[in-house]
Amino acid sequence: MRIAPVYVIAPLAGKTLPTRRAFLLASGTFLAGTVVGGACGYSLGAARAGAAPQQEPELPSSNDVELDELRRLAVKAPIDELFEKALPFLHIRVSTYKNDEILWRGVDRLSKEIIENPGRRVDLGLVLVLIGQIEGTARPENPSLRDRVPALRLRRDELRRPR
Amino acid sequence: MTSATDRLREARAIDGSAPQGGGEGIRTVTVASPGGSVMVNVGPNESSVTIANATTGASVTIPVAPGKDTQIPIPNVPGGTVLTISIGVGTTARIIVVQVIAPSP
Repeated sequence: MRIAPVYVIAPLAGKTLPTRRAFLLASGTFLAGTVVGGACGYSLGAARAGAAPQQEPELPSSNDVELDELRRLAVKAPIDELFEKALPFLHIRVSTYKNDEILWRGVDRLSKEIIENPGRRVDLGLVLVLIGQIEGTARPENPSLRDRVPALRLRRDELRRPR
Repeated sequence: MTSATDRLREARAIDGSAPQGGGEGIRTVTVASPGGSVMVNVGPNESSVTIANATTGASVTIPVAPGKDTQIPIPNVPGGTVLTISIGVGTTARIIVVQVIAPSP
């Protein structure tokens, strides 16, 4: 057996950075990105916070799951959700939590929407209950609700008219 | 302008009954006379209904026959009072609003 020498051509060595210099370059790029990104994020967030509508403060917990849910409906829930559960909301409010101030905000939102949005489909029964609760149990320190009764009566009469 | 008595008369003019209201789980009329009674029909899983004054919150629970028509009494309240007839509890309760209309003397 005969062994013949073989020559393998090695590729030309490319132009590479020394390890230390490459590390410094990567670190510098990362730091620069962090600084620029942070500054941009801060300025965008600050601008958006200034333009956003005032957030509702967190509702105080009552240690009563049902009352907390009603308060959420009254204050924070979308108006469509409040309308969807309006009759149970008003029923429980007047029968169980008559003195809860926060729940009146639900009555306020419902009555305001009914008056200001004639396009909203409203049940006659809901308008009757709202008028009854505002006339019968609204507090003296809440006169704006009583001021809405005439407009609610007009809406009630519209709903009563045969179509 | 129609009076309360006219509205009650109109509601009962067609077949002697008041207009129906309701949906899933409960059906009853939407107008009633004070001290009278109304027919309520509830689903097969319900055994009682709650009649409440929508303004004061005063309520009374009345047993009914599941899945059948039951006559329930209407409290002797002034004309114009708004009552609710409900089944279930919490925000998932199903509620029908009934207006009490006093007939003319």
